[in-house]
Amino acid sequence: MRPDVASLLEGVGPGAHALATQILGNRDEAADAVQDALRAALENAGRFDPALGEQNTWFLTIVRNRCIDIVRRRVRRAEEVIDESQHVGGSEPGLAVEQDEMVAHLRRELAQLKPDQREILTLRDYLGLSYTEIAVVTGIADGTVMSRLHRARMALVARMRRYRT
Amino acid sequence: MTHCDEVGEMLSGYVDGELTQASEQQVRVHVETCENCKETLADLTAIREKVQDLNLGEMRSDEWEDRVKDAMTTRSRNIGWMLFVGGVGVLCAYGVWAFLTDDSVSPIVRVAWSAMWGGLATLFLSVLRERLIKSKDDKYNDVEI
Repeated sequence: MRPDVASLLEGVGPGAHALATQILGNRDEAADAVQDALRAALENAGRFDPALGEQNTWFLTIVRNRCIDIVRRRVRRAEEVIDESQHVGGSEPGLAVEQDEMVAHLRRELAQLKPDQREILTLRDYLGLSYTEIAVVTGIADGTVMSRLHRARMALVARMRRYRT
Repeated sequence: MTHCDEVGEMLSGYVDGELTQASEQQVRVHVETCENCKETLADLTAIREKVQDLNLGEMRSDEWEDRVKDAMTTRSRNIGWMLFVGGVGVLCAYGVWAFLTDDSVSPIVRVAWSAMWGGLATLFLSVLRERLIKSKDDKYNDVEI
């Protein structure tokens, strides 16, 4: 069964870019990963199996796998993200100036988490995937999703506690 | 009586509504009597809501539409190239077959021509293979001059 391309058009794309940005910590690479995933999705549309999940989950899985490929290439080249203006924790040209200091703190602390922690927080709290869908996208067991998510949230809570007055 | 260690990560499941009825009940009862877990639950709920409201790098809808259209155009172009190359390949194969089965051409010429074109094709394929392998890791692929 082929996934509905129009749904891909409207639905999961913008959120998929958010996921890629959080995994890679770099907007430009995230855009490349999503574009690459989009091409792969269109070329392999015939392989989509609805029995394995929704097409949104299927596309997010492709995006995640592309991000992992990029991370592996980074390791091989021993590159680092040296352009801080591109990092999600740095300054954000083009975005409105954030009046709320706590939001700025949260964004900075989120960027300091490990990539897999940012990934699972994005999948659950930002994109609203169920635990079962998260298990499909990340390839981990259903039972592991809750514990991993809990550790990620607690890590962020611990970091945010220092800003309490 | 449920201890904090048993409830632990179930607090996140409770916040997300992903627990079984029995587990949900277990957490609810424990939280009513444990201030630590009640505070942790409140922290988890608050952090979840804050993350929901962040902009985590979501792409604008119009930008996404452009990217989808671009990908579909690229795909159509690739199909066009495949058909073209396939057609040229068939014509070349026919030409070679017609040449090799033409009795008016001497066998020595046929062998020499076959070797020459076979050698060129081998060289072309080896260069193509090398370029395809390198292009996967070429970080300057999408640089526009």
